[in-house]
Amino acid sequence: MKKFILMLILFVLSMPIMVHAKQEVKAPEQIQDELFQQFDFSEVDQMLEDVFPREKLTFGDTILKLISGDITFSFDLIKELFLDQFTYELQHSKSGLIHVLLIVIVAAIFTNFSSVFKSTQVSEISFSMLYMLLLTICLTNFRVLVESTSLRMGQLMEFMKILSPTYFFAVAMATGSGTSMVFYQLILLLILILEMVIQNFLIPLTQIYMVIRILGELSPEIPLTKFADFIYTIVSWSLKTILAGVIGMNLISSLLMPAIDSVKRSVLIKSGEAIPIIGDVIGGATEIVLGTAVLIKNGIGVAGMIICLIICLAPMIQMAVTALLYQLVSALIQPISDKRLVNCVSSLAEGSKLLLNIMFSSGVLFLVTIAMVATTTGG
Amino acid sequence: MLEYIYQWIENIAFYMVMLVAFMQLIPGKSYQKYIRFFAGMILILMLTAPIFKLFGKNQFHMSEYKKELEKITEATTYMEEIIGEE
Repeated sequence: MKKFILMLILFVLSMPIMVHAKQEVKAPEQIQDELFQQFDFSEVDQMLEDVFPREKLTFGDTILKLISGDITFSFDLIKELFLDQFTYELQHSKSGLIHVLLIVIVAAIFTNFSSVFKSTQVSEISFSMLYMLLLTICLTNFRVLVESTSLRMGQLMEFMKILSPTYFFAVAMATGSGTSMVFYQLILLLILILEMVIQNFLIPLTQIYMVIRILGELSPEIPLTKFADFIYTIVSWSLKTILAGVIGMNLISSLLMPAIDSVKRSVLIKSGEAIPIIGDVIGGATEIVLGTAVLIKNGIGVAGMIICLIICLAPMIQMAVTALLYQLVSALIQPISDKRLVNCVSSLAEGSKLLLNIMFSSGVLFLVTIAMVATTTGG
Repeated sequence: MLEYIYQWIENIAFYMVMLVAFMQLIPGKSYQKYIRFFAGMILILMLTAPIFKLFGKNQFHMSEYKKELEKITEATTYMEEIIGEE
């Protein structure tokens, strides 16, 4: 009898909870909407408007489209941006290329017809003058490249700075605070490394590399190519070290913290499920909410990755086109002109390749980190 | 730091250009190798100047980055607090 009364009391007591729990079970779409309302993307949107004034990109819409499984639009966007940038660069660098070609041809006339002049000195001096002109053009072109690279690098860092609090908030919701903390710290550290090492050290170093390489060709008596090689080694080694270090740090942090978080979470869910009668409802509801949180988190992650990619794409295309075109010019002028001029033009191509490498690595760093977070906290 | 490096590279560039101009002005070929030798010596001094400067003094200007690192720690603890409240 006592047992029966106890059961009855328990049942009556749990009535309101049951009703409450029944009300809590909502359609997944509704949960998704409610969770989505928690995030504030206004800062990210403002940033996107600054970077891409023509494309009407809003971060929230992008995420919603991605969550609903529509990925094609992002491919279309990337394709469009790629073609735009490519044709723009081709048209833009045409005049510079024609200048270089003309200078080289005139210089070739001076060197090959030097016997026309009274002394060889006249032709040598005029050759030097033309070389200086070519040097100035090459260095100016390179400076434009460097400026656009550091501008885009700044935008990339700014974007990550704005995105990461939102993204790691979502990670904390989906997986747990421990993982979110570790990766948040990691990405802030990554931004610091990018600012400290790449933007303030490697990019100026590339500029120095370029200047020294071109100057080294100026006088054949005093070559400086080995010094230029030395700087090139410093730049490429630092890039590789940063890449390896960041991936290693990512791996290490992805091994432990997510496991700890999932243990904590499963303890919580299992103890909820252990409550008689209402346990199943609680378990089911939590699972739906958690699944939705993971979906939103990955939506933010993928949208962030796409925008990172788009930010990096423009300067990368610019540098790739420049590198290819100047390599082509150096190939074209090789038969008629002096070795020094060919080296000068091809060193511009080398410099742009180095810049491309820098931009590529810094983009990859962010992409890898986001991808790592997304996969390790997959739920 | 960066200004110093730019100054240094500017000096080298100026020196090289002047050297090329000077080489053209020398009347005889026979003097050229001596001048080239001394010019090369000066160039070595110019190129190694920042490296010696770097080894000369042991402390870098890291205070700015230390501040940044502190900021990172602050931001993480702030984030931790926010998440903890949820």
